[in-house]
Order: sequence, then structure tokens, then C-alpha cells
Amino acid sequence: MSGSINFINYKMAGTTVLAIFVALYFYACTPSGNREIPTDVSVQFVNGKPIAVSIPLSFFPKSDIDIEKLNIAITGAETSMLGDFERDQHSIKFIPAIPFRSEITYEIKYDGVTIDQFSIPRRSNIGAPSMIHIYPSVDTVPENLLKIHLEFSEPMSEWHSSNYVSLLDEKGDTLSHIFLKLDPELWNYDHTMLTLWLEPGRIKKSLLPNVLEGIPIEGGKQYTIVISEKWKSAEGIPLQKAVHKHIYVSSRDERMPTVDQWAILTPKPTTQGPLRIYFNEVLDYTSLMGSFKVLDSRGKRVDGLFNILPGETGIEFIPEQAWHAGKYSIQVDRSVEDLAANNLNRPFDRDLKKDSSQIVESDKLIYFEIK
Amino acid sequence: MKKLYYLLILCLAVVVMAFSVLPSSTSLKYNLEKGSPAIESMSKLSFGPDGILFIGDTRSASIFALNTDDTRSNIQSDDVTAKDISKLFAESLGTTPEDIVIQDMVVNPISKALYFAVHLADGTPLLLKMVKGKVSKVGLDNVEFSKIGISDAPAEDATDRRGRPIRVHAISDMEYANGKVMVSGLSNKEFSSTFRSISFPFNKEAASTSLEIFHANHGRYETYAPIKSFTTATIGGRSYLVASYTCTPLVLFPLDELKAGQHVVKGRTVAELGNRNTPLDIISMKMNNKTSLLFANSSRPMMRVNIDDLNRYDGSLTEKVEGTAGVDFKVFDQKDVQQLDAFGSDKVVLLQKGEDGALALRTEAASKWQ
Repeated sequence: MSGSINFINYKMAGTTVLAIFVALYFYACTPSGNREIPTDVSVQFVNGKPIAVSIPLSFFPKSDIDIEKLNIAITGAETSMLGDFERDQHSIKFIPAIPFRSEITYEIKYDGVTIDQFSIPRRSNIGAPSMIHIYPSVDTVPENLLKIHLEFSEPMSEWHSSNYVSLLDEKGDTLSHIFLKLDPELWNYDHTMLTLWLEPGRIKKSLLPNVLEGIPIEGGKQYTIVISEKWKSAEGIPLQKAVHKHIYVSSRDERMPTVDQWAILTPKPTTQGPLRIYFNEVLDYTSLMGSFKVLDSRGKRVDGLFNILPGETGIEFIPEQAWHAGKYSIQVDRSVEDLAANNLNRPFDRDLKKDSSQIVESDKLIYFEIK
Repeated sequence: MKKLYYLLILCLAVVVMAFSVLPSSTSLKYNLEKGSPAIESMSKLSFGPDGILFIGDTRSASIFALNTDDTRSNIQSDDVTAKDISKLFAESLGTTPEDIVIQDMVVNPISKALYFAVHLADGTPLLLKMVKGKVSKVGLDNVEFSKIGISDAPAEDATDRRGRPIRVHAISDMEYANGKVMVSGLSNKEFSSTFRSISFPFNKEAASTSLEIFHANHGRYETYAPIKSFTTATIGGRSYLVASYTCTPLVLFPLDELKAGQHVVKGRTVAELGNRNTPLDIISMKMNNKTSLLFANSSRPMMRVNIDDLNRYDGSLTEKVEGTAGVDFKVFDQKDVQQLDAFGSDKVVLLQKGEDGALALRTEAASKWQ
């Protein structure tokens, strides 16, 4: 009995497949289905990106079209665009290697003769990028400041950042050779934060650039970091406005950050209150990110969220679950640095004649108790 | 008769299908898989054996090995030229030269085809190929590839609120030699240089080595500087990493001392090639039975260092020097050369920026730098 049911099912399934096949066949063989015959060149968008252009067959002088003679190019360009052609009943579709770009006019040429032109308007719903933050966020920095980090609201275009960031002295003159040119540039994953290094060769004492040109920023002076409004987002939109940040330069910092001098503010047990760690100096923003772990008395990681406190002078930890009374520790990654790149184990500039001992780089532990 | 004809066609189709599904011998040899590699950026390129192209991907902190299947030998290759390669690529892609950046250029040593890693301004990576002046895009769908991660501790690496990695492991240079892919990198977190020597075929995560140099211009201070570019060379029968730093000292590290996981390896500084200058590319070329290193520099013309001179120079620059010092090197006329690679055994292909801003592609006889 079960065999006959299976047989019926099989037959029914076969009939269904056959019916779908016949329907598809008729649809495919119907001259145009319900579609209208295109009369204009049309650009197809997918996720807002112009990924193809369709050219009606009526645009071609002959019905036997030779694809080899069809070229799409920027108007006036010497070289045709790379891409694939697809032909259907009424049109030829060109899919370029990358989506068409806005505000560029393209021409369609057949056998050397232009048969049409088209251009892609700029998307109206894209906002201009803005500068969210410049780190260090404090305005007083040591004269051996090594890094600044620029955070934007939108992913930015990569490359050539040195064209858009400048440093002015007190007279408003632009200073040269301030930032190290890096290839590749140090962008974060989504291109919203760029790390710039001030010329390390000018910062390190006795290096030739330091001897010849001196330190990039001098203690006791004021400078202005200027971000040009010409800097464009990845979508090609320039910044809303230029950004100016004034900095005051203090003396050279050659001391390593010492965790022993950090202050710990502990919450009460059974609460989810924040654990706060206050540093004894301003630390580098990116070196703080992902560098802290809270461990319980058995060394097990406590889950929670870290927030860097304003001015990069501290960090707080909010646990996912309420604190238990007991002993804990904070593991601080060895790579944590201050603004002059002195880390927890070594200063940025070490005089080997005074101290040539082998440095063993290690993470640091800070113990605390919840009670 | 007709039945036999159909049967033959069917057999042929089955054979063709079987071959298209079966992995190639290159794939089996190097343990590649078939698919579409999720390459997020192309910082550096280097050719390995049998048409395998290594792609250094800074964004995903990975190295990809791609089977280009471009293995037809081409010994007598025509010179390649383009007046302005940026314009040529931009027009080929339907965009403006400002929208593209050429990240790297390598020559396939077997076919002599040129491969270019290109980024659009929005960061989209593209692999372009040039044969006899004709540009094409290398498809990355349904290809044979393998991949290895290069971040220090992927499981522990911190992520932002959207789960994206915070730390940037930028690949500053990459080269394949003697069964290993060597990668130098720098980080947004600390001023230091990491170096990895990864066995190919890839097997497991590669531990990093920290390289430490004594900077002669510096005289007294220890430097944890990032490597800008490097190559490998055999000097006096021993294999060395020849590394060039952002402030241009030339440093030798014995390759057999660069063991995975070993924390610090000290290099021997053999030359100072000038201040305020960044080495952009280094290649090794054999000219008149002598091997030399050619340097393309950011603000100085091209330079050449002979391996014989490096072999003879057994010193190390540990005293403070002013300007240039160490092993002999020769400076040539070519300025603003941005990329270099060997084009066969006796030619060099280079990208050079002209006074008009155009980036010219040219082939030159290697004898020019003798």
C-alpha cells in the first residue's frame, strides 16, 4: 500500500515539474512577456550602485550586431571600459568591472560612432562626513607626542591623507615634515579612524632628522592641527567644514606609565556599578582599546564593557552581571602607551649606554577587592 | 549510428564536467580550495611557484595564495610601456585617476604578465593584469586559493561595537622565497615592527618575530622601527633578510635566526642610505654574473648595492654617523620610481612619476644599473 502512495506522489511530482517546465517554456517563447520594448538607454541600480547599462537594440544601425564593435567609455577617453556584455531579445546590457561613478559622462560607441551618452547623478541621500574626534582629546600634549588619531563620521577615502592634515605654528605658517608618510596608511577596519605618527626620526634624540630639523613640536609653544574640508569620504563627499584643533605643548615625557600609581575606584558587591581606573597621566587612545581584562580570583575573565573616560585619563568597566564580594585583578596589556609612546615596560627612547639590559615585555596585573 | 554519436557526446560532456570539478594538480600540490576568496584589501603582491600569487590583505589581516593558472612560459617577452598607467587604469574602469591607487605591481616570472593591486578611493580592491599592453580584471570567483591569518591573537583581538577589529595589522611588505612567505607589518597600536615567515602550503597560524635594529644615525638609542620594504639575498652562502626602514638604514637579518615565536632578533645595520628618504621597493637582480640590489626611494633617486660588497663588509654601524655610511652604494638618475620588479633575467619593469604627474610604466635593461 505504501508503495502505491509513493508511486502516486512520484507521478504527481513529475506532473508538477512538467507543468512548471511547460509554463517557463511558454513564458520564454512569448515575444516580450508583459515587458515593454525599451526605447531608451537605462542604467540599472543595485543597492544604490549603478552596476549596468542597457542599450536597446533599436539604437544599433544593423540587426546583426557585432559585440566586438561595441565600446563603452568615459566621454573623450582613449581607452574603453572593462566589463561584460549580455544580450537579450531587446537590448544589450553592459556590466562594467566596477559600478559607474557619479558625475561622469559615459558614451556608447558602435563601430566608432557615438550612439548615445549617459551620466550618473550624485546620490542625494548621502550626507557629508564630519570629524567626530581628534585624539588625544586633551589640548596639552608633551613635545614628544608620537601619535594622533582622527575619527570621522563616515568611511573616508584612503590614501593621500598628508594632503589634508597640516600643522600650523603660532604665526599661522604651515610646518613641513611633521607626519610620517606611511604606505599603507593606518586606517581602522571601516575607514573611520586614521592613525598618524609624528616623524619619529625627529622625535628620537640624536637621530639625524632630530639633529637637522629638531623636534616636530616644541615645548612652551602653541600649534594648530588643521583638517582640510577638501578631504572626501569614500563616497566622494568632502567634509562639512575644515576642522581646527589648538594644542599647547608641555615638556618632554620620558617616564613610563606605572600601573602602581593608578587609582582604582571599586563598586559595591551585588551591584553592577562601574569599576573605574584613573591613570596618573593621559594615555594613548588606541593603545587603551582592547587592552584591559578583569579577572576573578580564579583567573577567569569577567564579562563586561569597557569605556574610555573623557580625556583618556581613565577607563571604566561595567560588568554584565552583578559583582560578588571577593578578590579580583585587572590585566593590562603590555602595549598600553602614553602620548609619547612610552609603554608599561620601556620608554620610547632608551639610552643604551645608560641601560642596555634586556627588557622582558610583560602584561601588568593590578589587584583589587570588592567588599 | 546516431545513438553512438549521442553516446560519444554524452561521454565527452561527462569528461569535461569531471575535469571542471576536479581540483587542478596545482591545487592538490599546495592544498588549495575552490571558491571565492573574501579578499578585503590588496596591500602587497608576490609571486610564488607555479603561478601562485600571494596577496597581502591588510584589512582582513590575512595572506591569500591564489592559483592564477597563468603558467605558460614566455621567455622572449616584448617590453611593456604605458605613458600614464593611472589614466589607463582609470579609463579602463570608467573612473578618474584620483579614484584609484596602485598598491603594488609584480611580474609573473613564468608568463611575464604584469599584475597590479589597485584600490578604489572607497577601499574596494581589484586585481588587474596586463599582457602586451592590454588590461584585464582578474576574476576572483570560483578560483583555487588558500588563506592564512596574520593577526597576533585572533581570538583575543579586541573588536569595536560592530564587531570589527580595532587593531590594524598593516602589511608593509611581503615576499615569497624558498618555500616561505615573509611578511613585515606595522600596527596602529605601537611603534614597532613585526615580521612573519610563513611556510607554504599554509598550515597553521604564523607566530611573529620582533626585529630590532641599532640605528647608526641614532648613535646611542635603541630603535623599534617599522620595516618599509625588504627582499632576501644570499650573501657569502647564507640567506639573509635585507630590510630597509622608514629612515633608510639597510639592515641584515640571517633568515635561519628568524624562527617563529622568537621574540627579538637583532639585525646588523650595514648602510645608511640618506636622511628623509623612504625606500619604496627593493629587488634583487643578476647583472654580468653579479647579483645586486636595486632600490626605489621616495625622495632620492634609484640606488644599487652589490651583494659582493655586502659580503665584504663585515662591520656594523654602531657609531653615530652623519648622512650616509657603511657599505658602498651607487646612486643613479632615476627619480620618483615607485615600483620595481624583475622582468625576466635581464630587464626591470618600473613605475615612475613624471614631472607632469603622470605615472609611466617602462621596461629598462638591467645593465643600466651596472
